[in-house]
Amino acid sequence: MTADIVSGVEAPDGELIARWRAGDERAATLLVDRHAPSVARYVASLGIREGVDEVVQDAFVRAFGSLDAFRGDSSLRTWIFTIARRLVLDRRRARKRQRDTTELQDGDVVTEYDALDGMIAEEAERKMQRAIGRLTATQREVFTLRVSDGLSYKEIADVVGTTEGAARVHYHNALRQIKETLND
Amino acid sequence: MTDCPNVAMRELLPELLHDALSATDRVAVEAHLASCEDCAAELALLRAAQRTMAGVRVPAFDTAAIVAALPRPGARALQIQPVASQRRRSPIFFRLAAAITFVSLGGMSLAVARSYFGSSPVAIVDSALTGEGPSPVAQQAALDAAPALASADTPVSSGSAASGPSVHTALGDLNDAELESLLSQLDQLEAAPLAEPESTPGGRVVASNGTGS
Repeated sequence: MTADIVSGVEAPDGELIARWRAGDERAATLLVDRHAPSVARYVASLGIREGVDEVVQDAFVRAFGSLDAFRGDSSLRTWIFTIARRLVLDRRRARKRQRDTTELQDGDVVTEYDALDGMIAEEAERKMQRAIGRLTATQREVFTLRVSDGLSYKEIADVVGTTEGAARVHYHNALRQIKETLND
Repeated sequence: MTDCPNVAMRELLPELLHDALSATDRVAVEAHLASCEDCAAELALLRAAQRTMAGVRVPAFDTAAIVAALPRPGARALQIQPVASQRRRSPIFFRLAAAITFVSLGGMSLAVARSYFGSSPVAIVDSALTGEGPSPVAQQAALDAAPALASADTPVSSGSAASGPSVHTALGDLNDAELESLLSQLDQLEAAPLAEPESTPGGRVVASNGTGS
């Protein structure tokens, strides 16, 4: 435990950011290790199937490149999520222009979760996977941020670009939808 | 599965899931869970959903590559500095270029003026300031007639060939007779032809009427 504190594994994001600003590159490694998996999962949940690693890397590069603009009102993870989401939207728009995209729209149930059929053995998890897959894109995004990443409604609103009230409604609608699917 | 009417408690379940509750709230939520089957079932659902989403294969990414691509905090200031210094230097370059251009043009103008007047800048400036200098036509005529004046070997012609200051001084030293003589010569110069001379039937070359006056 003490070794973790010294190495920075347990250090809060703000402290690691300060250390990185002072030239400690190991602090950047710790921050990437801490947040990259959830960012990658979130990007995948938005329907990105290829180039997730590029989006994740670009999100971190942009986040660290604009840390001066990071006011600290939200968490670093929320900040990176917000950037990653914008990058995903940019990619989606670009692909839409190229007409070779598979758009992720409300009602689109073909998601990363569906691609993982067969990878999850237990029936209960498979049902849950299906239930989450049937959510609308917005419901799934909000539910993922709330349940998987533990973001508050305010943080979700910041990431998604909506209001706290709307985020709350989407979360409860998603929860009700999942319950109904599981009860079918 | 039904929804618990205690919405406030339901709102705290995700926080309980992520161990993000204060001690007081945690005690309150756990007490509620002990007596509410709906909230207990919802918490179980949330745990299952969290487990499912966590089980989703995390797309591969290279931490080392990400860290390597990050901007270096120490280098950021160094990267900005040259740009800033370039911006600061830029006006100096412009000023230097303007100064060189000014000096070059000034030198060229001086050389042209010297070749044109055959005298020093002082005389040129003096004549320009007083407005008493010869008109362009007269200047051209003077240049055309310069060989003749030189061959005449008069004090005036030699004086006109002298440097500016000496001319200026010599003019001041002239007496009335000499000035009249000089003026009459100048009158003749102003009558010098501007165009090609015309040949008279007798073969004499006469000046055209274009005197420039």
